[in-house]
Amino acid sequence: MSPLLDVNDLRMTFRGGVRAVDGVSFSVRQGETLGLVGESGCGKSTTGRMIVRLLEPSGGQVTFDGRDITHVSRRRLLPLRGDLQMVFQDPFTSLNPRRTAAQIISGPRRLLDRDGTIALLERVGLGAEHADRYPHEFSGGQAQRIGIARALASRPKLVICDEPVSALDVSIQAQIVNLLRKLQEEEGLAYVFIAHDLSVVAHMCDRVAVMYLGRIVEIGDRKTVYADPAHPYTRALVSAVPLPDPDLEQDRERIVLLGDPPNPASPPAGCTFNPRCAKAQNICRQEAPVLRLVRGRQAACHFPD
Amino acid sequence: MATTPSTRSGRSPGRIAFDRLKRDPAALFGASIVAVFVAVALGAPLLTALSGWDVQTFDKSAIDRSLGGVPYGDLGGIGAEHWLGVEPGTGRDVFARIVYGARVSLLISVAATAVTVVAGTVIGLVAGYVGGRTDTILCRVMDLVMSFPSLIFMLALLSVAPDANRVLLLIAIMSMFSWPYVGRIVRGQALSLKHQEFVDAARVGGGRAAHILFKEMLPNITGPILVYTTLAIPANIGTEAALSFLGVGVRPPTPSWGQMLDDSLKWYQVVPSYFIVPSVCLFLTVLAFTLLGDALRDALDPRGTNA
Ligand SMILES: Nc1ncnc2c1ncn2[C@@H]1O[C@H](COP(=O)(O)OP(=O)(O)OP(=O)(O)O)[C@@H](O)[C@H]1O
Ligand SMILES: [Mg+2]
Repeated sequence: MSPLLDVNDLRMTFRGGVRAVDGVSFSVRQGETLGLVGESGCGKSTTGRMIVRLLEPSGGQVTFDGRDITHVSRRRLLPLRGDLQMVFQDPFTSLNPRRTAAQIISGPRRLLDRDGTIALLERVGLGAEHADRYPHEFSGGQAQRIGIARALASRPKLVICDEPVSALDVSIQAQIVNLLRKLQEEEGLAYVFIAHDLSVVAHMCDRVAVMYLGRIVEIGDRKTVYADPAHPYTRALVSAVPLPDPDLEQDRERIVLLGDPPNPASPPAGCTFNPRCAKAQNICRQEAPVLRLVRGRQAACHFPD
Repeated sequence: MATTPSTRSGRSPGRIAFDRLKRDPAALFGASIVAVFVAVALGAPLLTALSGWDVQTFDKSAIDRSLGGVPYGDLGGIGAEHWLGVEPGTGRDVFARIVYGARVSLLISVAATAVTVVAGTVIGLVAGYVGGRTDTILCRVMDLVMSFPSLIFMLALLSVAPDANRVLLLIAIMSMFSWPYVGRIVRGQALSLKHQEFVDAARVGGGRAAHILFKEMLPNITGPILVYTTLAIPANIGTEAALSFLGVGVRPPTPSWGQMLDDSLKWYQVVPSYFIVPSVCLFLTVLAFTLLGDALRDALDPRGTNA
């Protein structure tokens, strides 16, 4: 079966030469969740926004449901709009302060009638009493539930979740993640779940892709990647995931990354991770590694662990 | 905000501003004078029927022809018969002329403001949202129009324009020079709004450009537009008065406050009341609209304390 979403060598170069996304490829099957993880500024949002065509890719292809949607016009994209939705990071700036919850959920194309709106509100854990309220009357968690309801109103097949919980209190985060999982089971949704660390996606994803400076450095099944990371960057991210057992948490070694990610406008030569890598050799400073199969997953490293 | 859910749910941000406005004395004062002004303008025929004198009737018995038309009595003939006196030289009723002048003043200033605001809003929204070359061109045009010394150009245009419909002509020429001021404000707001995620969300939801401009962005700019509108109306009342004063506004016999002021200058030593009445009307109206506009700006300020 062909995948629901196929992203091939996607690129985005912003004005000023910032290569925010520099040749990203992955695919997502129906009903599956792909975690897209990386530090701030590595190009996760840019990738997500290109998939839903909020940004025009500078290169590569996006194939959705067997159709190349990389450069289709707004009109031709319209029938697919409902299948391809997005949940945004900031629950407040993503809701129009001048529209009621019901108007927001029903969307520009007025997809739902009153009953449909209320039914959807209930499915995301809100109720009819919330329908006519304005965003400023909601808490962050409630606002994000409305953002999720809006994405679901058109019964999509794929939802890009761009850090949907990172603006929320930790106590609320789990509720929203659980809601997303419940909805996934009910609807058979596929997610691209963007996060800046591996802990949020740990219980959510089937597969995980780790991004660094506009490229995927490791991609594979969640279990494989978490249990035995191959790329030193992934190893550092995995070591930062808190363990449930406090004794284990005490004893384990945390890998702290040195320095900041380099400026994407002038990436270092060779492997872009080399200035921060403890194992960097000469070849790492000269030749960029490509993704290749390493113990059951793909990793881009000259000296995988 | 999130921690104190309001007891009355569904209170829109506009509603909150309105509730604040109701508690501002300056706003209430401004609003009541504006209400009187509007009522007078709309009810002009009724009021002149009550006073018994219409705009065009010459009351020869109220002026002293041997003195060149100076009204009989003190204060320019103010009394039970002519509530605000009579026009020196002709004997026309000043109350009727003020009341009908309010009508002309309101019509021209509101219509010119409406044209200005609608044109400026649409152009500003398009410039800000579309961006790129469209934005550059529209901004240049706005700069160009704003760089004209508008009063002189209005005078020139009005002097050479054919005399077909003076009121329409005034509305067109006054709005021609003022739309870029709204356009600038709206463009700036649109520019910052279009990067908000709710606009992206509307695009992902399949919203057309018209939906995004008028349903998503415009409702978030109504505050500044409303403030501009309430401040533009008094400015336009002033401009209309100035143009009529300078003799290029509405033509007699249509009454106008500016025209009355112009006329009164010939008489101000003998009949000061004829000068004072239209001045006070003009002053009060402009003051009232300005107070209201300022109060509105404060009420709409999200940083306001008394929510
Ligand atoms: N519209 C834009 N114009 C120019 N540069 C941009 C634009 N949007 C993003 N960038 C740059 O592209 C790079 C990637 O940005 P992106 O928002 O995709 O990162 P991210 O991984 O989502 O980070 P975060 O975790 O902070 O959301 C950054 O260096 C950013 O400064
Ligand atoms: Mg982001």
